[in-house]
Amino acid sequence: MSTGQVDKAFAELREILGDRATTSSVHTMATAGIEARVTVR
Amino acid sequence: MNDLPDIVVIPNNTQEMVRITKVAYRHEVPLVPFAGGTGMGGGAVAWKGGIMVETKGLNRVLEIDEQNMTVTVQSGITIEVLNAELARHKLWLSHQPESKQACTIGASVGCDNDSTFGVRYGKIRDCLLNAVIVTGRAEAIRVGQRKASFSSTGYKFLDLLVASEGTLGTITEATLRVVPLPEAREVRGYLCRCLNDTARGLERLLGSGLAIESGHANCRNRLHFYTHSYRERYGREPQLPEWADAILFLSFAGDRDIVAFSVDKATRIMVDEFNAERVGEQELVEGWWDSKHRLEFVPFKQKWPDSQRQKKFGAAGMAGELGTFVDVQSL
Repeated sequence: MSTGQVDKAFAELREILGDRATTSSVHTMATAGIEARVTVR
Repeated sequence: MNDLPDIVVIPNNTQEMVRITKVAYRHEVPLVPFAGGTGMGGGAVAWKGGIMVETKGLNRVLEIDEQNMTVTVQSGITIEVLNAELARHKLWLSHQPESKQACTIGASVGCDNDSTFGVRYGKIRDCLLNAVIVTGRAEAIRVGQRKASFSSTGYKFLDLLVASEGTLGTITEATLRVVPLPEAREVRGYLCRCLNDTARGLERLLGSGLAIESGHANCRNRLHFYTHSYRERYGREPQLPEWADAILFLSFAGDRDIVAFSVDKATRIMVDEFNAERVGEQELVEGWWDSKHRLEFVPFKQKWPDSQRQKKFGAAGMAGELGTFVDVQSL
């Protein structure tokens, strides 16, 4: 899986979901309080 | 190995999940559903990166059918929130993992986790009637039956879905059988001289037809966990006999008179047939109930005292003489 694949997928997902698709923030998962640090490669 | 996702998405419905999956399929990016984050099997880890589907946006109750005693939900609703909603209709989902505050319906199906009321009601498979999944090819399909139980020949795809850990698709909806909220519930504890007595006693009680909804047999180490919790909470030692080497906790539920009879009869069976003693300090018993149903679930936080950590063991697969099993595990 290349960076290009991820970037293309992300662009399309942003079109569908808006802010509910993210790659750049510390995101709190559900009610368990787990944080996933997600970054663009 | 990378265990972080590249993208996190939060769908709100099945249709959005289909569109997300189409994107993942088209660009060959892995897709990993993530629910409450309490699973210990690693199924929610994005070990190849890719898209993580956080299911907290799928949190709606779609239908409560009181007449047929079913509920249809989106998969990201937690079991605790669902039961709070069902309680307003005097109904109850009996599948109750200890992590119910964070654990979702989709995760329960995906992981086939345990329920503290399993001895009476079974597990998630026993109340799951159907589910909607979005497959890896972005097809939304419903598997299982509708609201009535029936048997037929043919592959049981719903059974295949249980414990599939997301490998067959992303679960977005489920319909479950629910039961009436019990009128009364009582919890009791019985001190035994060995773990075998708790197991044999539990077998005897389950065969008696009493209104037992959960049973928990504990070895001496586990007993120490509860005495430790008691000591921490009340600042004193619980009064237990020297010979106590195991403890059996039980909960009873149903109509009030049935529960009262069941408690009385169970106590007589345990005392007369298994030389047990009922726990006099009900706070100790409540401590067990709290540990199963009321405490905040903190993933991966060790709740055992330091002195007991090395002695913790799982009782799965136990057979034959339990005392022997415990001794082997303690070596």
